[in-house]
Amino acid sequence: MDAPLTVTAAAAALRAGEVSSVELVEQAIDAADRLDARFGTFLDRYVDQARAAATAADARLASGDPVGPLTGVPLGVKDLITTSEGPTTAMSLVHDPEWNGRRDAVAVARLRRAGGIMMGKTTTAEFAIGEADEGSPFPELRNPWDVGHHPGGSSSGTGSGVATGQFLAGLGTDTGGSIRIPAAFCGITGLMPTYGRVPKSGCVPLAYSMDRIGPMARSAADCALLLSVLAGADDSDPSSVREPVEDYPAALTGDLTGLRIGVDDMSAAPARGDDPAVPGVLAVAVEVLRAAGAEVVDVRLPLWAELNLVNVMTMFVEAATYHQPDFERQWSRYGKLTRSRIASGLYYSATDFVQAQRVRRVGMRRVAELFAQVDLVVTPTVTAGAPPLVQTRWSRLDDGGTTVRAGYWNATGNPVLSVPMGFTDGGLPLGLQIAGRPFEEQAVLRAGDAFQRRTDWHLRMPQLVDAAQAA
Amino acid sequence: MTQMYATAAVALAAELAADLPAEPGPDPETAVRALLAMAHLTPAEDEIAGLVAGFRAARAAVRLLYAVPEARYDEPAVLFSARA
Repeated sequence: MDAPLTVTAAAAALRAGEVSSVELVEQAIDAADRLDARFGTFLDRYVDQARAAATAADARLASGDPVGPLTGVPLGVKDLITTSEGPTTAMSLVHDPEWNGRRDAVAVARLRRAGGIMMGKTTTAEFAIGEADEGSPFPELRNPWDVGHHPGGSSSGTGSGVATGQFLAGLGTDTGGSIRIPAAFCGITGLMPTYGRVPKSGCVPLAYSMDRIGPMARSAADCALLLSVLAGADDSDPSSVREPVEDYPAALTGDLTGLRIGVDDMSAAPARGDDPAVPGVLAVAVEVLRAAGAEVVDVRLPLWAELNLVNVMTMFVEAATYHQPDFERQWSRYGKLTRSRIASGLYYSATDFVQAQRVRRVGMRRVAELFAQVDLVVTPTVTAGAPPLVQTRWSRLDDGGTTVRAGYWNATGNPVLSVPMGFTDGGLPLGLQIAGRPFEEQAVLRAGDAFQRRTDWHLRMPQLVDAAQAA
Repeated sequence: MTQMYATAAVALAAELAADLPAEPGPDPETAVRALLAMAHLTPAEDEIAGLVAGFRAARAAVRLLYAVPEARYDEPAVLFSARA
């Protein structure tokens, strides 16, 4: 049979005996052998451990004993999150690679307990915020749809790895868009769960009050399956929240009847780099949601500029706090861009920081008022395709950033899914964000799944991958 | 990606705050050098120049947060629990 593209299909095929875990893992290893260097997906690969885990998974499947929902499925883990197989670098020369004692982070342990197989650690921005200097030992990150463009960050490797079949799903982290942006730019699906939904212990912090771990995969159904494994409080993370964990796959009915969806097309916040294709692509996507049964109304996200600023300011102040000891001792070992960004947290006083958290409270309340009128809010994830690589460099810092529409939701804490919704005229993927009420991931996933039952954007494979396979 | 978005978010907030009443701020170079000294950091001169260049917009942007009327008597959204 053809290699399954999704976790859901792979899990079903494994249970039906139509494919073995060894076959899936070997296909993933083969894809990574051919594609990893081209796209800069991995920082470390666990080939031997994955092969052993696949053999064990096949034995469990053959035994007839109950198995976890991810048994035998190859996964990638952003190198900000610890795994027992090897070091965690945060793609930095500064980070202690033995941090967390080479133990699985809670999220990784949950995936492993569910039967998932870790294929390796995937690339990120340095500490999820910066950029390694040219000449550093880390890979160049490239977009699977056009190698002259960035894959998005900071969960770059998980994005390119899923998009190119080097694993079926993986973990990303999101503090200002870092799951949703690479999901949008790589043409895959990514879920930022509600703040506190997935324990973040064992993840190198960027900003304590906004960091979230979430799944990245081809489909909303895959994200639902992974979230069903990842969700739930853990005492090791004081910010994780004891809310009931829903049966997320069971919520995927394919029908949006009874849901009221607010659409903010972002036209009230135009940006210099907006791609002219986005409004038309968004309009078509909204019609798909309407055809699935949703009632659609126009809305405007309240306090847009204020909450984006709260996101940025909080991120930099909390990051500056975390990095202060290493800044003093190892300033020159950070990437130049990384240290300059984090150091900008010094601009803000303690008074400013508390004021930002007061505005954050107001923003949460205003967004809750909006969600009393609608069940979901959709916007473009980014109002442009992936930027050319030159725009991510130190010398071109000011270009393109206004088109990112993600960080607002990090300030408010809501769950947000990004699903592929089409392409720019230049052939770069675009993403649709679907935001919901706190701890109502099931509604967000239901809408994403209903959209994907009526479209195939999430199943498209970059031509570069086809060309590499043919070579 | 985050860095580009951050620069844009600060610039937008600073633009919106431009009409708000404000006292003249401190000299950016003096302020940045003082902040770096307080943090025991000694970057190269070109990096200090970069931080100085971003200072004025960042301080202008902050004024937007103090102009949200509902925040005047609100509690901050900070994490605290008496249970460790």
